[in-house]
Amino acid sequence: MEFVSRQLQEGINLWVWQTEKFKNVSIKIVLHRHLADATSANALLPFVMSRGTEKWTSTRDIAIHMADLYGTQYGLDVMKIGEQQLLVTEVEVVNPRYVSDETVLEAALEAAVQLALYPNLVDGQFVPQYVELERNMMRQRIASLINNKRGLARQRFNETMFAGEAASLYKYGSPEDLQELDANKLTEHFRRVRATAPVNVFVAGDVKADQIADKLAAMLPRRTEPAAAIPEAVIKGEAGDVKVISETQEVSQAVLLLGYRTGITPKDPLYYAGMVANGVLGGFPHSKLFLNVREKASLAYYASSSLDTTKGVLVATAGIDPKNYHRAVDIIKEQVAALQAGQVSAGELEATKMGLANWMHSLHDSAGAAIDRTLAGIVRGAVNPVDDVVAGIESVSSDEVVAAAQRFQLDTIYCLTNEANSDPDKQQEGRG
Amino acid sequence: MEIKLVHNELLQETVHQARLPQGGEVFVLRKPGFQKKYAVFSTKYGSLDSKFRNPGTGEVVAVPDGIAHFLEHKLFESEDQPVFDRFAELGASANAYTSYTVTSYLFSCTDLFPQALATLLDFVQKPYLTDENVEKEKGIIEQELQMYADSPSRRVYTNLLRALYHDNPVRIEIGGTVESIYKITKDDLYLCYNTFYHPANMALFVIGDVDPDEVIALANEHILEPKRQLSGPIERFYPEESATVRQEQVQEEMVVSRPILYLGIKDNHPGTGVEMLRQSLVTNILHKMLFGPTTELYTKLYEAGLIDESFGSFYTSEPQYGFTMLGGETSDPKRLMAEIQADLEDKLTKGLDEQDFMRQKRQAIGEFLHAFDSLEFIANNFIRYHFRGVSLFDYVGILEGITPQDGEKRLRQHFAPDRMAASLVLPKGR
Repeated sequence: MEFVSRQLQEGINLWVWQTEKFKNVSIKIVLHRHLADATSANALLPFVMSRGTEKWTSTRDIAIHMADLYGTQYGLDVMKIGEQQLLVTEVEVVNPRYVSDETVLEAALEAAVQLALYPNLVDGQFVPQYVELERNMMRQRIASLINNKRGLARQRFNETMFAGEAASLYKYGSPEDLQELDANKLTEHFRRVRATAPVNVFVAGDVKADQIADKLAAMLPRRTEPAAAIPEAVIKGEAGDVKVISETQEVSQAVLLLGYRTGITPKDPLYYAGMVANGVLGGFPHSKLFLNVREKASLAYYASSSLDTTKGVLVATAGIDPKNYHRAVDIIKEQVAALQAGQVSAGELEATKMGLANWMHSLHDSAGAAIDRTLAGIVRGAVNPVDDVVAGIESVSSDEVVAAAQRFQLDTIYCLTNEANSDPDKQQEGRG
Repeated sequence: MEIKLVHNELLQETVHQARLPQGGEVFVLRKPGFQKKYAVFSTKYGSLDSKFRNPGTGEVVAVPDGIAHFLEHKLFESEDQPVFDRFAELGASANAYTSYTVTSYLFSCTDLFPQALATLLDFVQKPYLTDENVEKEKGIIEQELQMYADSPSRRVYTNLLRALYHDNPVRIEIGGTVESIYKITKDDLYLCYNTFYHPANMALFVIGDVDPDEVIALANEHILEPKRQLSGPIERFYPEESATVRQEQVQEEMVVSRPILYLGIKDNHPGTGVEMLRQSLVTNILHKMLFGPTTELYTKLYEAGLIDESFGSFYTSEPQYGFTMLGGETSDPKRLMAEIQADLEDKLTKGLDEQDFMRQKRQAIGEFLHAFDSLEFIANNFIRYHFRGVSLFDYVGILEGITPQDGEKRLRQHFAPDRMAASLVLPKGR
């Protein structure tokens, strides 16, 4: 029930999960880059590449080809995990069994490889007019972050908490760096990425791993250089002085984020304890944050926390009435303190472990979720089988949960709020 | 109790279904090899149903907007142990949602399924409302509504519905307004509960690696005998809706990077049952042919920088309403609107390309197969279609029977310029 990996070439690995559970075959090709190394150029690549491949030279040709392939779904985008920037091509095609057409799988595989690695180059470079248009589109995409208040708050939070670290960068880069790029420079960058970026190819569905490997071997470009080594994410266990920042926009609801350094990564003996501690604090509707911020104080619709073990941080968040800033911050801090002081009931511990096990097992009921879990594991440097993770979670003791929680050090409090409440210290009357 | 087996050849799936003696329909779809078990318990009651006949007194009553959604929140309240904790003890994850026409309660789990199912059926049938816990919920729901109010894409959508409709309650947010929810009382909630949470008005769908007979027996055991029998269908009253749009264009200023434009087309005859499904499938094919990524229009708009990946279109319908919506972020809403309208007129004059129709139909079949890998999609849509009097399993058969002539007819019937409205969100202060 897991992905089996093999190396296709130096730096190119194939991960196959053979299963008859699904009516589709999911394919994902990922090129790995360090987030701080030419961020904007990396980000622009998938969008320019979706403008045409060697074989299907326009966006419309690609769309028609995919429609003819029984509505094969596809997409190219950029993802950020920890301090890696991932250039992602996804293709999902119907299992040939359901349409009585054996050729669809190979056709979909070819389409994925074309999209990810064989762009339409004219006279040896990207079409300047496409690069120009996509550069403008990217500028708009970056600017449109202000339309999404939670997304905007999260990015501004990242820039505050991770100032000077690669994790502060937005996955789509910056408008300033985009300015520098033209067709010539982007083509040069593409050649370097294609020649050296570590590549992982995932295939999940009713397939034969050997056949997939053979087909891919014939489709992939031959590499001559060794794959580039990507620096590991910077992990800080200590927080230093707490940074407190409020920014204003016209919002009806304030978005509050509290960032904690934990230093907990998969190599840490408290790795599983960290997962359970986050679960007890804010991972579920039975957790302390949901119970106290939402159910008891009626301050929020959402109140939760998440643990990023790639970066070793925990982030608690809630959407609140701007005038309740202090009450919400106080409750979140109190709940973290309670956990650190050992307030974990047997019920909380048991429910959290079961909830995590349920979630882990469920990941394998969706090809996409199973692929993403494996991908995140690769970035973190540890792809653990589901059963090992579940066993690891089950073995965590209440003392270990508390020990993990004691590693949570408050680093940053960020709030996106409105003008009237921009100075949190002037709303003492709101303290409850 | 008779258990009926319904098989679908293309999907290679079989659903077991039974009508319980106490009322209500149970469906079970077995998915061997899946770890997750997913159950949805729904009532045919949504935000549109705010005027109805009280079955106890025979009186016609009107309740505040947003009450179906409020009730959905409140059923998680319990006299002894909080509902979320009861699921947590079983390692199950519970949730609920309210649409215009349906309220659903659900959970997923990988272990202890019978206990979790019993918990689901139990809490939905056992409301525990007090003046205090009703009051407490208002702050939470207010924050939920404020979260939506800060979303420009949601605002452009609800503004468009307000432009398309004069009186139809589809123009009101499912959650109501901050004003309307503060008017809701415990008695209102009980009245709605007692009216619509009757087994005869409900259905259960279970999917996963489970034994269908056991699930049906379990449902029969836990779904209670109703206190009163329904003498007929629950009477709901919807206002008469004019055929025209209320306003051709609406706009609002917000903090956004550039304008957002949605165009809407009102469908005054969405139909019912199988006819409604057929009509919506034809319309979806037309959407692909008119506005999808394979069209010349899409390419032209994209190359002109008028649309980006946020551009999209859809059609949705229920017996009470139907509409098409399309749009996205754009730097020039006027020009985008003009280009789309000109292209539509051109298509109305020239008619449809038959080969393209067949291609998009094939794509639609593929997309349905894609969706069938999601347990959540199957369960939620099965119930939705069931309440409309159709089986989700009939979807592909109906789709296969659609001809290009159906497309031509529907093109002229639905895409009428005089039932079109535009909603704009513009950057503040520009």
